[in-house]
Amino acid sequence: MLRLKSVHTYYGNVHALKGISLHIRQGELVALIGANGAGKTTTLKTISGLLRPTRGTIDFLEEDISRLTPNKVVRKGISHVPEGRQVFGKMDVSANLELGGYLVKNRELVCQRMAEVESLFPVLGQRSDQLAGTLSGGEQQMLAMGRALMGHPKLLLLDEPSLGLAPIVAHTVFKSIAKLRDEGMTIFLVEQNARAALNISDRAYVIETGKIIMEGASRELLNHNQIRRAYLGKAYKEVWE
Amino acid sequence: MTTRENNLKDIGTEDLAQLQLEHLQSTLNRAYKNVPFYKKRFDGLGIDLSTLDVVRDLSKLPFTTRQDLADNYPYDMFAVPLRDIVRISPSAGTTAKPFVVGFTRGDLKARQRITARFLTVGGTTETDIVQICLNPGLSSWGRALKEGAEDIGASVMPMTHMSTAKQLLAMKDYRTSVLITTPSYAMHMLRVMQTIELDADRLALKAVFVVGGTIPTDWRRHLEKDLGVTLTAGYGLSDITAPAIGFECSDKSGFHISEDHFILEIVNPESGQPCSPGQEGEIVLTTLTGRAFPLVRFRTGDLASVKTGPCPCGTTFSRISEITGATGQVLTVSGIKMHPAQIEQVLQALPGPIPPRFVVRLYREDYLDRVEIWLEMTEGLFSDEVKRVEDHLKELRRRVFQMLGLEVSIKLMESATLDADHLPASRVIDER
Repeated sequence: MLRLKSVHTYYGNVHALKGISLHIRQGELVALIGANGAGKTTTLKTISGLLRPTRGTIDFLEEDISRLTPNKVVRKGISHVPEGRQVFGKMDVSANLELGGYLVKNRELVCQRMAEVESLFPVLGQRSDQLAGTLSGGEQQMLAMGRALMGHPKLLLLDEPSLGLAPIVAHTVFKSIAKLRDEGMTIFLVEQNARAALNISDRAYVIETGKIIMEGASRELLNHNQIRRAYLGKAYKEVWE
Repeated sequence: MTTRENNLKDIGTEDLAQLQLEHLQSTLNRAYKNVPFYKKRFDGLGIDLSTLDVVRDLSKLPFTTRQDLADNYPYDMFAVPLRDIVRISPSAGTTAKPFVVGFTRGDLKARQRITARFLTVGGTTETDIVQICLNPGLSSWGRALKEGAEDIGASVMPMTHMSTAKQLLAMKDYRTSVLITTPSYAMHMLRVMQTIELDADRLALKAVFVVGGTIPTDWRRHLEKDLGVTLTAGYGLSDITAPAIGFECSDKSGFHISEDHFILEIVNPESGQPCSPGQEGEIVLTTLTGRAFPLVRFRTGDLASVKTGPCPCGTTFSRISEITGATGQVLTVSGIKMHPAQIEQVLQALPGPIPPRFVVRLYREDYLDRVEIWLEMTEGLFSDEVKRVEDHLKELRRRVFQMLGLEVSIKLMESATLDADHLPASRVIDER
């Protein structure tokens, strides 16, 4: 569905992505894990058109989208849920959701989708009249995802959905992401919380200073000592330690 | 193993290209980050790995040779700390120095999948009884094939030290349905069957897999007809990685290279330049999935050519011809790679100021590869007591066996014989 081939992106003067290649198949939940500043968010922004790659190609459904503007990328069916949720706090929940459906002209369809989203995240239905700013962090994250789903995307990009959430709330958010995938959504998840991301994803890529250093089935990476040391715990210096 | 991994037609050319690019880039990034040898070499040549945009760009990188592996003995080619290594596989190498290959748990799994695929394509199923007959020099392959067969769920009788007659009796009594061996040993077994008057009808054999040597067409015909089996050959490197990097499909013409785990190149052995399809050159392999022991453009020393056109079997993996020879002085004896320099090293342990000169003679006896060393009778070796000379030779044979896992015979020669003009400068006479 999505194929990145040797993508290079600069963030100002910083060579942030140094030849990234990855792919996502239809219906897959793929995670990109790595430390702060490794290039995770840059990768998502490059896919969604917010940043323009200097080299490489991004093929989405057999079409190169690497030179498209963000709104054209959205129209192709890619929804980006940015880091920090960014819901409209002064608007109520249903207005936030409706905004997500701005590309859908048919009013009936908007209502139908809203019902779908509310069945996926029941809490949004319960608080539909509440101002988004008064929701908890976890609820805001669900609202941000729900808003993205209103446009019926083919691919959902999630940037650090667990950021700033209490562990128990993060757990609920991850559960709803897994549920989304089980319902057939294709998801590219970027996370610092490597363990949680590997637990729910099918495959994963590990990014370090703008380069992919490992890839594989998530279950395999979860048991991989190098990943454990780098992202899930202890580090050793010498080869014989 | 899932059927998906077995069904090779599932891997489309474009998917494979994407997979190779991803694996290659991360392999290079890991090798550069974790293996000082690669970091030093790439930095020394001013290579920026991020400029590698397509798989083809691999040809801009330097080769890795067996000498490099020996120079970095024991652990300097490892990309992971030893605590991640679950198998250490020593190899005699083909230089005076040996080398060591390491595997992580994941590496062993990947190798298992590669060998399982080879065995599955050749018709092995979970109901088969698999007997492995390989000589000790190929013990690493024996383990890999055992694990691959176990992965399929077959019942495996691993390598055991038994006479050929006993192996054959076991084959009959255990109702072995799949035999894994070398081409020459398969032929040898056929010969012994005649001697002990064992009729092929009394065996339950249905498939034979051969590794570690080229199989001549008439041998193949002979084995298939006389044993009533299908024969599938595999290509691999006995000293590194898996025994079935390349596997024959139903078309039985050349080897498909497991391109989901390796990148294949064929280069001119002298210039190092890529060969065009159909042109003979040296096989160069880059690992894609290896975590412990990444190899970038490893020169195998084996000669072959790439076959053009799609394979009737539908597999998209590239196909190479039979192995048509070897570069330099690397010899393949019963699947084991050796170099005359290794014999020389053993000889240095002999008494006397100058190690004796020698010639290696390779020949076949009852289809088996044999090694005979013609050794110059020097003063250091000479003694009035026959027993002492014999002890020296026995010790030499033991040391060669320890080094290479090969039984050799030694013939003492007068200096004049070794001076003879007709002897090749390479010190190797290959009569096979």
